[in-house]
Amino acid sequence: MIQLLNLTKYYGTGKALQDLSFSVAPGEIVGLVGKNGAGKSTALKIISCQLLPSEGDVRVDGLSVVESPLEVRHLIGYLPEQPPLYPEMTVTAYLDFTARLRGLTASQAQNRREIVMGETGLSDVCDERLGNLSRGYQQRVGIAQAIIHQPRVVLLDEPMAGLDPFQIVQIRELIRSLRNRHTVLFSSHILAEITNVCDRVVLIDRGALKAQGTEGDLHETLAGQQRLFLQVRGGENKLKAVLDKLPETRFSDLESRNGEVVQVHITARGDVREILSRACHEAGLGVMELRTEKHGLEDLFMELLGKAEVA
Amino acid sequence: MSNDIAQKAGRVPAVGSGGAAIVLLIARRELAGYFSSISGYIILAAHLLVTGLLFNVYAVGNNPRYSQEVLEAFFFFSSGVTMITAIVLSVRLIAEEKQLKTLVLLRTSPITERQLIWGKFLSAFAFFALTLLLSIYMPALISLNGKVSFSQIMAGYLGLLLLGGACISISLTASVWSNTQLIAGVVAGLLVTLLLVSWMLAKVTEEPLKTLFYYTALHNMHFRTFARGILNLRDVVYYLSLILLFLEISISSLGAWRWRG
Repeated sequence: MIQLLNLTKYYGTGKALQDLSFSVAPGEIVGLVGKNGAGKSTALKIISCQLLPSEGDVRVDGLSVVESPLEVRHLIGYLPEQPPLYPEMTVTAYLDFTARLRGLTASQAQNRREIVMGETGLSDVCDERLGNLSRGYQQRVGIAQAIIHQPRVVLLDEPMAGLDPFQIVQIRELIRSLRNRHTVLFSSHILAEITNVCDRVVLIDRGALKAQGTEGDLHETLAGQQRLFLQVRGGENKLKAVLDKLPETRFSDLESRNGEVVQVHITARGDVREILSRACHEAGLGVMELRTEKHGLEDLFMELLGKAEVA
Repeated sequence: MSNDIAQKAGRVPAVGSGGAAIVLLIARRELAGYFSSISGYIILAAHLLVTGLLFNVYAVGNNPRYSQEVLEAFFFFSSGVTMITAIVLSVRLIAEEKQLKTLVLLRTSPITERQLIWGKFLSAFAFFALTLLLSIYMPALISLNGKVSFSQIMAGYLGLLLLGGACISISLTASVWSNTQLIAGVVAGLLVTLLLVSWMLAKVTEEPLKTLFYYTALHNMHFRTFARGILNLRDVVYYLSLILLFLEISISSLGAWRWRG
């Protein structure tokens, strides 16, 4: 339903998104998680046709956000971080306006407004002015306007930001109720806050994709992986030959100094330090340094979880 | 190609369908905003108060004058208030949406920049026209004490409407360019002032700039004929062109946001 294809976005010389690619299947609820400034809002703004990508494209139900923004907007309901509410309007008048804005007729808008107010628990405050509502109710109105035209895709930018724990539970329930009727992509900087709501989590950092899968998948990935730093004397080709023979091992950032001293970062499944050290010795390489490194993803993951504990 | 397929499959309505309805929807909501806030009534009351004062003190005055001269003076003094009212009414149109962060609702809805800008313009223009309508008692008072030409009243009000429309269009552009209403007001004020004094620039420049500056003078070269009851097509075309030019600039500026972010 949603496909991000090598999405890159520059703000001036700064890169907000770097070659970001992932997809969301129809009916799926996916959480886009990352630290503040990771690029979540920029990605959502591009999907909702507010911004054009510098490179790459997004396809929503096969339609390009670059070539067909108006058509894509018909398919999308969007809730920004701060609900876009006119304080002087009543809930009823506002929802009617947003429905008409998305092309519904007056009678369709009225029908949908009644249904959506029931679903989002707004019936009791239908005649209240939006400016007088609590933050929790304002967020509900924000979600109501995002789904009033029955869009295929619902995008929610930090829907739980600024809410108290009780309101977070309510909004979480509301998002969960969208399952199967809509494809939902929502962002959060707190991983634990969205647990049990998402089918899948997409983790981004500094605009780039770090990992994706269920929360369980991510934990499992991290639990089984080890990252090592190795520095040897004896030549690049010999080291490459050793690393190629090691099972379930990837290496990156291989650097050679004077063609003799070589250093490399290795990601392996399980503890391979002993095997690696023996293999180097047998290949005639002198091990100068071998140490474990913290996983970048692990740092990110722990930070996101840590924030949840504080919250 | 993919759009055609999507439309045939019934996934999305054809773009451009109900365009006028969307313009009116936006205009209605915006117009309701003028009436639901105290600021709309304050602007309306201030316009009528200042126009009324100028009418009594300067247009009517203490010396006997022909009705035609009084009416001409009324339109002349009204035109100054009209420009200020038009600017104050319209600086909020987009800048306020930015301040309230509601513009995102319009930018993520399936509407074009053209529909949005026209809707905004029409709302301010309708409220402005209502303000002018409420001042009609002043020409009516002149007619009670003298002979007033109906065509002069019509031409004068048409001139005020066109002048106000041009100022609304200019302010709308300033509102698109600015993040706050205050900055939008300053930018609009500068643009209008520049057009007001361009006839002065004409006096110190050579051709072809001389002709250009004379022609672009917002008030001096184009409004006075309306006040005298003369309907000059050249002046009507000037004001309509100015309105359309600044509306197009607003539309383009809004569209450019997708690039800038």
